[in-house]
Amino acid sequence: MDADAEQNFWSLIPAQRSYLPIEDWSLLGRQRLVETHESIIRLLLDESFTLFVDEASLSLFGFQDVESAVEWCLHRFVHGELDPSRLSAAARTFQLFTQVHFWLAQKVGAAGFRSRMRMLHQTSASRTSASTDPEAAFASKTSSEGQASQPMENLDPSNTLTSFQHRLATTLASLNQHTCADLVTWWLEGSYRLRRQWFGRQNADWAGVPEIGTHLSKKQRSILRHDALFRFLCLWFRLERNRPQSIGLVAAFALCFAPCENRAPYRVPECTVVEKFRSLGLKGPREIAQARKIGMGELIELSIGLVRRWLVPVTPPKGPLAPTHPPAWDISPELSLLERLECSLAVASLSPTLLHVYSLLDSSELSRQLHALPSPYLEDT
Amino acid sequence: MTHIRPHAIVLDAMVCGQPLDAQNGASETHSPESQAWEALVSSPTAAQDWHDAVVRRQRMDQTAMWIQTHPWLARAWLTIRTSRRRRHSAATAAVVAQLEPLANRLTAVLGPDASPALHRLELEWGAVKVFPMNINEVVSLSGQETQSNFAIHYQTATSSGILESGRWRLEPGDAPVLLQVTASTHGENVGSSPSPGQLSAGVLLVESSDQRGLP
Repeated sequence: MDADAEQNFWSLIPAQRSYLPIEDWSLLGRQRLVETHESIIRLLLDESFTLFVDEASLSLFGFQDVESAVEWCLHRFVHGELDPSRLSAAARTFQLFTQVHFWLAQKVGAAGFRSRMRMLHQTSASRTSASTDPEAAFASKTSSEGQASQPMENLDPSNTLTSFQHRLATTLASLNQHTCADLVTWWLEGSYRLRRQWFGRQNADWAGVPEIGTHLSKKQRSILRHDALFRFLCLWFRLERNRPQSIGLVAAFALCFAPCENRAPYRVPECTVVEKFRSLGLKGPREIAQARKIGMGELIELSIGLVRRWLVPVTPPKGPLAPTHPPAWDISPELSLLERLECSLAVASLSPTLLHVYSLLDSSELSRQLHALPSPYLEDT
Repeated sequence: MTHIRPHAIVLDAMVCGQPLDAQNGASETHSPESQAWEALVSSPTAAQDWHDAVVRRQRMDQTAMWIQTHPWLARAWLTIRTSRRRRHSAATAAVVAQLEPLANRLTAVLGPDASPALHRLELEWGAVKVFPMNINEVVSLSGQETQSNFAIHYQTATSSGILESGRWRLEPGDAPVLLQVTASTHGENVGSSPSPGQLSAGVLLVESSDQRGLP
């Protein structure tokens, strides 16, 4: 079997993490656990070290080979000081024996782990600060449109970009926590052109366009990408922190912004929250799904409202060749660099495709508002 | 600009949602995890790197489910795993497992299968590879011309023995089935179970229709 087929096979298996619990964390309890389940524990450690760590990495942590690493972990588990209260719920199960990062950090300590991981990061040097200068990207856009040149930032553009990058990172981690791992993949793929514009303009490393999930149709992949982009945007705007003002928003947050199975449609199934919603007057999964749909529509409206502050109205073109849904808004030339970065993220995440994603095609007002938004892309790609 | 690609170890912690430093009592600021998230959003290979990490974790979790549910499988798998280290042998076992043509004929009639096409698998000494099959499909193990001396043993939850034909038809309730290939020389007697320490490779037959897990 080729590598792609093997990857597709594993990626199609639904995530299942019913690891056996580790209940007795006393020294005696851990010793008994190893005596009872030695083959299982030894194999889990062996498989995970084989899967996640290469020989160079092992030696960096002072292990000769996988076998010696497994022996060390077993000894540490039986004889070492382990405080289960500092472990996550998942790590208080047999999953602990598959968490290589935990054992490596146990071996060398937190600081030692950090420094070694820095050494292990693969770096590929590529060019230039100029190629990643977002000001250059915006200047290019405006000059091509014959507008006045942009006011320069008071802030150092690279600092602005760094702080923007930091917020992207924390929001992406939040998306992972609030949904599941695959939506992160779809966001990374869906945001590729944006991220190239921000971080890799004119850089050869960004030449190709990634394609994940090739077993899915183009339409399915598009829907998953836009879903991920929009849910990310909601977290970016921190909409989940506001007290929900409607039953629709309650349903949207409970189902689409909560940890879920790593499998499309990447949301909590309605049937699992029936009891919770009964007290709110929703009688069953069908009504909850309807409320979720309304809630996602409300979130789109809220997001469009937040984006408007960065936009200026434009006169739509007229005549027989004018587009059916001409943009009514353009990105304001008065924005700071950070605002322009945020604005490009937001309008890219508010595509009319969302109407298909959330089954909102019957909402002509939402459709009109989404079609009125400008293009987020500042370069022709 | 320098692109940093987070290491598989850190990516796995992120996929698992495990704060790395929280487990070790250090501050989460400037943790390898937060640095890796920043590296990820600015990396051109991020989507593929993250996807690979998710697949590795799914593979680990699913493997763990099989191992947990079937202690006999854990023991046999471990024997295979350690055999290579004792013998320091080359990785390729020169044995392939492949579905017999019946599956292809059915595919031709019924149209393309939505499941990934896993019809052929090269075995590797010291490793167990997973082979998803439909009920009634037949897998056969065969050696390459230069290295055809090997014995095959099978093991299920309820039975074990020598598989002289080198073929296994997957019946309902069979899975998981471990086919263990051990290297042998001419004239060597094949026992009813593989000798410990013999160089081995394994293929684990699982049901495609029930990839979620095992009873």
